[in-house]
Amino acid sequence: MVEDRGATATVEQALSDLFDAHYRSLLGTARLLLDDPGSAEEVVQEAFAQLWVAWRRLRHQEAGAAYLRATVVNLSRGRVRRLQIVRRHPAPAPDDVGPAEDVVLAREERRLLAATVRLLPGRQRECVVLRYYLELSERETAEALSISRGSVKTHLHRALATLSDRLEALR
Amino acid sequence: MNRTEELLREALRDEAGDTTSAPDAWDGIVAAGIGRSRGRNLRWSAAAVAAVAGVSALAALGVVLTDEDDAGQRVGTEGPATTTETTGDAVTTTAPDPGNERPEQAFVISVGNRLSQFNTAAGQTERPLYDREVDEATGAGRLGGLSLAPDGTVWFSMAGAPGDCASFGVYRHTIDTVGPEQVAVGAAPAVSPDGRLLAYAAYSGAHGGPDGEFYGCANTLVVRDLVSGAERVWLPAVDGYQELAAITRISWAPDSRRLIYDLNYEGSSVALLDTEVPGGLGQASMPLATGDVEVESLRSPVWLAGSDEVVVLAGEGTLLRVNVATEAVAEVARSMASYGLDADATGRHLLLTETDGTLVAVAPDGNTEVLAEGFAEAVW
Repeated sequence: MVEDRGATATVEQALSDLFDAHYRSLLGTARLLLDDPGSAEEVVQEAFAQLWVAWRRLRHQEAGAAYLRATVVNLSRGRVRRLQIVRRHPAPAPDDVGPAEDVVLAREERRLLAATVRLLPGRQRECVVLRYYLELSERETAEALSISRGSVKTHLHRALATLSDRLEALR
Repeated sequence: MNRTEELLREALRDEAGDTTSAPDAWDGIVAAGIGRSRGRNLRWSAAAVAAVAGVSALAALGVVLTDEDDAGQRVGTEGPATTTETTGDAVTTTAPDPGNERPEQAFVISVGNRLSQFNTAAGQTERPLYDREVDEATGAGRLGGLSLAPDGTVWFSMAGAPGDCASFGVYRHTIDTVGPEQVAVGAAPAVSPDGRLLAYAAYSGAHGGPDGEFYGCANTLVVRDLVSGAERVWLPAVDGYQELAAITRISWAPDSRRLIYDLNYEGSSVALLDTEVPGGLGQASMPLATGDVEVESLRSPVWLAGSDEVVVLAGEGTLLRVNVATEAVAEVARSMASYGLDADATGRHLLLTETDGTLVAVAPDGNTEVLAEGFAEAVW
């Protein structure tokens, strides 16, 4: 089999463009979804490598970014599941903190929210990260997770209710 | 946007941290992308991307990860993946057993009743093949009985309307054609390894109870010669309503002569059938024997390629390997609640579908990996 050198260059260029446009946001997504953020880079690189192989099978090459997002979510989910299977003791819930000055309070609120996001059920966590970190629309979030738009709304509603409750408790 | 959402956005940006792209990462992706597209599989590891260092450092040691001929033309490589390991100053390059690589392609039926091509590495569907709306009240239209033929065609069954046994169909889908083609009336299709025989559960007609109420479709096991069209039919022993026992999974032995199937009637059981033995299903079949090991609720049998071994699910999800000649039993893995099982063409990699829709790959060493969620059936 002789590989088409021109085709390889085309794929490399297309992937390179996607890398420049999306690598950083995908890396952040993986860090937020993984319980072991240290492996985020590995997950994102793996997603790009898989897209490389699958490139010619994509129905639309514009779908490359969506493919990457879905692959990062799936790869992260698999790793989280494996960790959950072996984990004997769940991670402790973040401690409540007392009242503080405004700046300190705002920082504590963000810290508390980030910690609470990590404790959300898997789907809720994925919806929150895709919607509020990647700034995807509900439709794009639904496509990335292969679920309905209605499910996205439900997961987000529940997640925001949980997060709001935690914030209220802090105040 | 309310205050919580605003804070959440800020919190997520903080938590995601510094995502400045490492220039090394792209080099690693290029090395892996080219390698995999040509049949190689460079594994990421911590130094994943030692890749980076990789390509240049290993080159300095005389190891080349990308092949180029004398004229500088890239040459693809066929065959098993090559793994390169570096320990201290020593570099070894080995071509592993092809059976160590799990299949990259599978076929799945989603919970939403869509048949698709599935990429096991990416953990997602790549290409929808067939959609069918389900009548939720009756189940009519639901796809199932997924299997692959040696020629790469995908076989499945579609539930019909209750009471209308002729509306249950066995279908064949050739990947590059528009839609599936109905081949028979029945369910649970399985094409023999030599590609010549189709086994399936046929419905000989609606079966009513003494009160005239419809109870189900009477099951028979049929083997059709796909060349001549000739069929041989095994009628189950008639014992009360036993003929209603449903055959939900059939798997051929490598010799294309014997097969193993499960029978669901007051619990599930698994039996072997020698298609060259005369007589009805009762005479030609014998229950799968497991020596001195007591097992219950055997189901989803799969005959492993090139062996006298089958794998079955037992009890609440234990995966067992059983030698049909010696009756030796070995536990392969435990799953949470599996109901679907398939093996790849090497017989070494298994694919489980759990009751919650999770797809789990089982490696030859018994290690499991979650591939994706949201599927009712899967084969590879």
